[in-house]
Amino acid sequence: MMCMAESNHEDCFTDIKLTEDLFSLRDTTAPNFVFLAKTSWCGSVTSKHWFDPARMRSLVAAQPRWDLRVGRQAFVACVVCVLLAACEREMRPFQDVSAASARTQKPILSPLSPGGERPPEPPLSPFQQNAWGIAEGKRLFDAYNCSGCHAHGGGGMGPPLMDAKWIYGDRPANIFETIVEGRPNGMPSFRNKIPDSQVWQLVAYVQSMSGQVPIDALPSRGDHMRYSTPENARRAEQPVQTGKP
Amino acid sequence: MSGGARFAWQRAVWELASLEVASLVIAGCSGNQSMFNPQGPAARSISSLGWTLLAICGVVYLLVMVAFFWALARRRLPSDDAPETTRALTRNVTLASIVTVLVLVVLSVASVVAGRGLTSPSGPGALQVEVTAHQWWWDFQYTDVTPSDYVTSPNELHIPVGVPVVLKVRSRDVIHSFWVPNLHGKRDLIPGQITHTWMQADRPGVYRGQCAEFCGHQHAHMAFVVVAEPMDEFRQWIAHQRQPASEPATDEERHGRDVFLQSTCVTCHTVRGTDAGSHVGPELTHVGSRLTVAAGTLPNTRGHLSGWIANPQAIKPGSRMPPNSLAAADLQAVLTYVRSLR
Repeated sequence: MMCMAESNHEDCFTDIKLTEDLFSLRDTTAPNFVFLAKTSWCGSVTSKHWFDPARMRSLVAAQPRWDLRVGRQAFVACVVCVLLAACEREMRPFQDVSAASARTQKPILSPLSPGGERPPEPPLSPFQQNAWGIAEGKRLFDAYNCSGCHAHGGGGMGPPLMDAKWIYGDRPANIFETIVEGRPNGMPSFRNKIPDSQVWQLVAYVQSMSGQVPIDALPSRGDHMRYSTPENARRAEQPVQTGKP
Repeated sequence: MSGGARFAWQRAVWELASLEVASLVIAGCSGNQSMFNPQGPAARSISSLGWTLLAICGVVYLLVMVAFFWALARRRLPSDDAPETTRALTRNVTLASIVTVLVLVVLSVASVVAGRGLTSPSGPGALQVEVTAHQWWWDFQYTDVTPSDYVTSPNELHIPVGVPVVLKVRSRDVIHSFWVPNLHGKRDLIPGQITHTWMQADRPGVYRGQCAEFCGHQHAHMAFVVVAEPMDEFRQWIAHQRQPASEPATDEERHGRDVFLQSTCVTCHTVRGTDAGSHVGPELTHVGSRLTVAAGTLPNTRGHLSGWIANPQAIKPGSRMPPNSLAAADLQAVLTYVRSLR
């Protein structure tokens, strides 16, 4: 009956009795069998005068069951995918001490270091792949009036941040240092004015403006009216070290 | 288990369940933050509409259930197919349909009449307050005076008793909803759109309000209090709120102010009379006089404030205030200073 309701091939299943005959042909569970009948058997019968029980039997008997198996495997795969998708959720480190204490490991900005080999630097900032952290950085960029000089990254009194040029280095540690210590010609120092975890969020957002973070972590829209292309729709820039803004 | 024991057990469960339901119903009718405990004209009309709807729908529900179970229990009679029975049935069904339509019309009229009374204030507004919702706190600004006399009172709305107060409401980030069940219905706050509502309290009291539209992580902890007081007390309050922050009197308070102005506090908060002038977070000029901290989450005591300053993320995870790692002596000094801002 389910088959009757779903089938678009009216020619194939006009007779309920025929379908019931079919069920009695093979000792199998109904839904699977309907699947088989709909996909393969039905397509092979096009004639108006197809009601021939002997031919039907031979057709059904000759039909291999690979499509049943594939159908079942596809269904299981779908269920597994849906279940697995729920397994990983991005963490929101609201009170992550490691991000807050990252300041104690002072970023190394000089190639010279006492005592020989210098320890390897962590390649990523704490929020570089964290969509929540980048979105918080975007909020703070306006809240702490970074936009007052950098104008949402387009540049104004301060240099633009969405282009490829970096005056004081493009690594997360450089950007962190720029915000915390300030830079000549106008960038103020925010030392002790912004908690380190929030500075790292700002670092991730500043990187995101020129596409230096994974695209799936980028904000697609903000809380306010749109002023430029959304971050996740911008071209990723190749960082260039330069002395001029 | 014997039959008698099972019966007693079932009866106990049944009694417990009815006790629970009864206590819930009673708790909903009497307390603060309940629409069935109206304290103003708008809330009264909402409450009487609610009771009317509940009574009429309750009676209809009972009648329908009685008819339903009667129809289930009744046996078929040979005379059921007789033309007379069918005719009587047609008459009854027609009657019931007419009664249903009438009841619906009465309910619609009652609803429209109650709604009309809610849209405009019951008299000329004595006061205008701008309400701005943020994730996850409320800002109330008294704006019916010259701008130099504007007063900001986060998470605590003081209103004079017996006069309508006009509220101009808006949102800074996402959709919120302003709701003080004891005084008025809900009003949604849509970003980029300014709407109005009003409220009037008939007698002095402290009424709790709450965001009524899910707005993110700490929606449940986005509350505020409405303090209704007689007009002369209200005037005293607002005159005091217009004053800048009090000067620190002791050495510890002075140290606390220095720490406050040199640490992360100053980046978000305003204390009028000092260099702190940022509007990212709530204003703190008179924070010591408020009833709650963290938008109605905690009572305003030294201990709660201390926990809130040290690690807000343990109290309201996701809130906009970051953890502050101050030295113990500095934290105590900041606490003393902030508590002295009365």
